[in-house]
Amino acid sequence: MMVCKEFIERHTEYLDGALAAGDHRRFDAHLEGCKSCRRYQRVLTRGLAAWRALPRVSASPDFLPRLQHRLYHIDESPKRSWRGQVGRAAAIALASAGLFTLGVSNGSQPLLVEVQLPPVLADVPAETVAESQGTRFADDPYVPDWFLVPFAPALDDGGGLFGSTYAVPIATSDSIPLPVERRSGQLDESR
Amino acid sequence: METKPNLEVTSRYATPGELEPLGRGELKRLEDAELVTHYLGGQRFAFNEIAERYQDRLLNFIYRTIGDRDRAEDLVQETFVRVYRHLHRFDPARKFSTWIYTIASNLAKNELRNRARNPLVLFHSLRKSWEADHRPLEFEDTAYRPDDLFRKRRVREQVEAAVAELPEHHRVVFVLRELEGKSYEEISEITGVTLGTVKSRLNRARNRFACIISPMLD
Repeated sequence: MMVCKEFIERHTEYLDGALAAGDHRRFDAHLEGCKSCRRYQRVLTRGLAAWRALPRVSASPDFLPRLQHRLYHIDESPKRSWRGQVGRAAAIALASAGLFTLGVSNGSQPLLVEVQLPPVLADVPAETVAESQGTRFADDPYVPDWFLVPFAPALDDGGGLFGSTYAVPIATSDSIPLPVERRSGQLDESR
Repeated sequence: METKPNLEVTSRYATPGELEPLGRGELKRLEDAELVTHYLGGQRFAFNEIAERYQDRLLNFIYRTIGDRDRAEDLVQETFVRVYRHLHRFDPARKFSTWIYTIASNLAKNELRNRARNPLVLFHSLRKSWEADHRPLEFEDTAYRPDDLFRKRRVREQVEAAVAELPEHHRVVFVLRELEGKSYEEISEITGVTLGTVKSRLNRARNRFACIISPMLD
């Protein structure tokens, strides 16, 4: 004899015709004699029928054009697989690590570059030296020789206030070398 | 001597240019799996046919599950985009409708979970669709009395609200069975749960549904 509990628990299979023939007949028999289960069956079937009868919605008219637009952009954009993204991330991480290592090694031991620069020569006529500087500092033992080398003779170019002072030296055959600090040696690139 | 059938040839997809191009009318007569084969064989229009075939079915399924029509349409779009991207991975041995419903079902479940995390979205009520502006135009049957019409409308509202009250995992199973007419096996495959769980969830969903609507229908 079937009880209501079993009927309710397996009612889904009964309603969907998923029970074996023997079981189905037992359910039929119970339903015939049980007012409460008949009520349950009636309410459920009517409710389901009402729910299924709800108006179905339709996609808006621009649904397919919008979809095609999206698919077009998928076709056009470069394919980005997760493998590609992982590869890119790994490459970026590797490059960052390399740069970081380089930075650390620079901090602990500066990278020194040997640079050889040619000596700078400034040529001026010998008589100009005697004319301009010879009288004032020539006998001063604390003034180095190279300081006595004057600027080039003023060019009367009408160049304004400082025009003559910064005139370009004129190279001659009997010029004297102008000693300057030789800027060769080690340069600290990290600075 | 008995020769073995060449399974490799029958199980692979056609390469582009291998299949005869078909017109729209001919595409409409094809089965889903054949459409997939033709699409992967280079016939772009075959995907349009798939989209036309499933757009309303998926829209109703997702709409009944999440209760928001506009959002449902967005999710149907997303379903097709995912299908488009992964169609080459579709196993022809499986049923295409089950595969596409699995994708749609997962999107609907994610939507419901996101809403649960963000309660503000819950203001989207199912009843919104029954406001006068949203209700489809209906021609009244003069054989009905006004109170019958009112009662009918109330029943519709009640059953819709009853389904909305079901827990998410029960509702998906309920909609797949009652609206889409899917078999237990298909529902099991779509939702990724066992056959026994499908039966159990469906039974609980129906029980709950009956309890909610019984005052209206009894």
